[in-house]
Amino acid sequence: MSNQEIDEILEIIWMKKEKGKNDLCAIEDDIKRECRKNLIAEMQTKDLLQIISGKVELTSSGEKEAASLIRRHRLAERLLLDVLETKNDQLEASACEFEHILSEEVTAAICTLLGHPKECPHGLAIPPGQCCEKSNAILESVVSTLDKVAIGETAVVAYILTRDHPRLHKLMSFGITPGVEIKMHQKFPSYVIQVEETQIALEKEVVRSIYVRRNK
Amino acid sequence: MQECHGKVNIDFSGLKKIALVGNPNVGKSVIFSHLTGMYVTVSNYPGTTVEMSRGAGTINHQKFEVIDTPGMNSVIPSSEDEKVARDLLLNERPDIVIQVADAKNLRRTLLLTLQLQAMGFPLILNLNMMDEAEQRRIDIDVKKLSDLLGVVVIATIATDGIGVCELKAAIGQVAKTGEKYKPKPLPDNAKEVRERQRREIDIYDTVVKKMPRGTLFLERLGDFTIHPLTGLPVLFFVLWLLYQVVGVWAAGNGVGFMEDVVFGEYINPWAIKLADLIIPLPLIKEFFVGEYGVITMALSYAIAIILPILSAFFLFFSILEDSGYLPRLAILLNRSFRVIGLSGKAVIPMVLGLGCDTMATMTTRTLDTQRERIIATLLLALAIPCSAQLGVILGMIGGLSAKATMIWAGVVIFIFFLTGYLAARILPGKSSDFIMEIPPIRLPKLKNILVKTMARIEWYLKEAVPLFIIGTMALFVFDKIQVLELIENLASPLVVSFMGLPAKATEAFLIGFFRRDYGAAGLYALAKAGLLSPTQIVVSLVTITLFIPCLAQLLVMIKERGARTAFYIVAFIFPFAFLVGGILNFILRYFKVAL
Repeated sequence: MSNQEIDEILEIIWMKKEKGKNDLCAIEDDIKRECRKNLIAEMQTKDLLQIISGKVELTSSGEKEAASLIRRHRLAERLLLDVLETKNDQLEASACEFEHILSEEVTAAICTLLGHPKECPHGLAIPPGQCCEKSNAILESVVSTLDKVAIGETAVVAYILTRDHPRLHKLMSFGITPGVEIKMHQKFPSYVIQVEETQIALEKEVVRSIYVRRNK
Repeated sequence: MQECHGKVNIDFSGLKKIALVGNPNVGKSVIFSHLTGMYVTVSNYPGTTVEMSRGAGTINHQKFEVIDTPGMNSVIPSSEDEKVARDLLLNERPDIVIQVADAKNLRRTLLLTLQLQAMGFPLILNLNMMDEAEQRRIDIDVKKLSDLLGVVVIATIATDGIGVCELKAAIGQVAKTGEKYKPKPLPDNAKEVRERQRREIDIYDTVVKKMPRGTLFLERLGDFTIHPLTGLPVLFFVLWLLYQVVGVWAAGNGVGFMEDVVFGEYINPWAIKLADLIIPLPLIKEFFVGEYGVITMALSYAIAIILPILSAFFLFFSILEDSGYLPRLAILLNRSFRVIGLSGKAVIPMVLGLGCDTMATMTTRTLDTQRERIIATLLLALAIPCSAQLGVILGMIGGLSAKATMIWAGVVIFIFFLTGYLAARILPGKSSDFIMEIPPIRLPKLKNILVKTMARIEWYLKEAVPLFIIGTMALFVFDKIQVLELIENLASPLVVSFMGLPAKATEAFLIGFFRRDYGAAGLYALAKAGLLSPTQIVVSLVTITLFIPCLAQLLVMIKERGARTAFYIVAFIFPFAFLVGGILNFILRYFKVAL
């Protein structure tokens, strides 16, 4: 069994688990599609996974391996889409190739370049690497969600984190885009913020998807 | 609140087209009035205009077709009213596009300007509300802005007519050079979007200078109305004032004077005398001045009872609209409206419904999802009494007791939330985010208040009074051919036994089919004649409040939501209104509530 094949299986298990569908038969169905039936047993002997009451669980070494693969794949997707503006139909194939060739250092460099993104273009979580944890420790004090900003305080929009396209579009059309200054005006019964000379009322859920850099 | 001004059919063929577009609440409708001399409703909240208005205007000896549009934040629409403006631009290819803009919000303005430019429209940028920018000590280099954009930029203070001349001159200039073009789709890939953002920031930083400033008085006032501690007391004060002005003063003194003096002592006696003199046939005489007479019933209800109340309400409401207070209610009420599947944004259509449910139903277009539009339409049809109806109700119940008023209001509000809650459970789909622009508090302009109030009164006289006359004629005919008695007998188990009302109240519900306010006026007359006990007044008023919407509203419901949805809504409301009335009657009598 080649390494590439093991990698594919690890990814499949990771993604199934993400959706909470990691029972054995569901995973076996997918693996059969990959034309190998005895892979599970092989991987068990390699201490990459174990089966606990009909559910496939990754061992700690398997988990580590899978997380790193998924991380490379999803970072590659972000890079291809956001920076290189690759067309959608080529995105998946290219990302699949990338995940096998990226070294640890290059991955960290890409992650830093992209600003340690939290989600892939499909809205799935990107497992954080060491570089993310380091940057978090520094950024934690500076970047926060908008609801943490005190009344009267001004902050600059860093990024907007939402999978909800209409929400993003609406915030943008009100001029709430990265780099724009926002002043917190009121927090109850609804949030009221000021952008330029416009007051905008919004609710907590929306406010929490706006990440800002606070001037300290 | 908007009005239908019997649409004028002007032949626009062959005229060059000017489209007024721009962010919401920047003054497009004021500019429209300046260019065409036509009045369209102007208020201080986003979404006053939800439909296009067209007018002809002569500028530099050339005739143009001028088109006013609902506001849009981006050429990619996110609600139905935003779509109207975008479709106009793409389908009609106006010869000149004027982007009307709020000078103090240049960032948002430029976002749209650059989009319109990228699509290739022949553009004039009109920086309006320059006075407000100045008050906030924002200095804009108009000349440099024009150079950087490569677009004619004209500064105006439209409400005072300042700069309108220059705007007209600019239109003349652009019209001369203008040639046919084809709008390009908006280049919307990541690179273009970033490029536009970068240009926007560059231009903004170059032309705008902000000086330090203090807080303006009106800004303080605005904060006061939304502050968690002061917001609710302000709301109660506004409601109390509304009740005093409309329910006590207009309904008491105004109606008293019109009904007892003008109609009671002059018009009706004179009309009866005149009819005695010149009409020999008793049947025709009765048609005009009898119990169901056009003058003694239709006109005295419409002019003596409803008109004084309505005028006061319109005046009060116009001031509220122009002050910018109404959208602030959304901040206070968003959480409560979440219970009924709506967001704070729906507060505007609901409050406008207190003016006119028909126009408010059109305003539901500003809501983002179909589900929210249906819930709002249902609640407007069921539980929001329009100004005319509300005025008559306040006038009647105000004379009874505070307790009666509270019971009436409590039941209606309870039904509002109960129905909304159930509808939100049943209807599929999801609610949208609450993100809403709050306009600044402004000092209303007396002229606009008066023009708007007059326009609304005129609309009432033209639209509602003919329906009153038709309703009265139907009653007259029913009475003469003895169908009225038959209907009253048939409805007796419902009206008399179940709801505990006198049989004559059936007449009020019958005319309520034409307009709910007319039905309420019928109850008013019954109460005044001493035919209704306090309990009966409360029961009948709750029923007529919930009663089916007026014909005009029904037509708009069909137009906006489709015949099927409109039919379901009415089929639900009609029995439901009587059911609630009957249950209330039972409760009030069972617990022997003294009113």
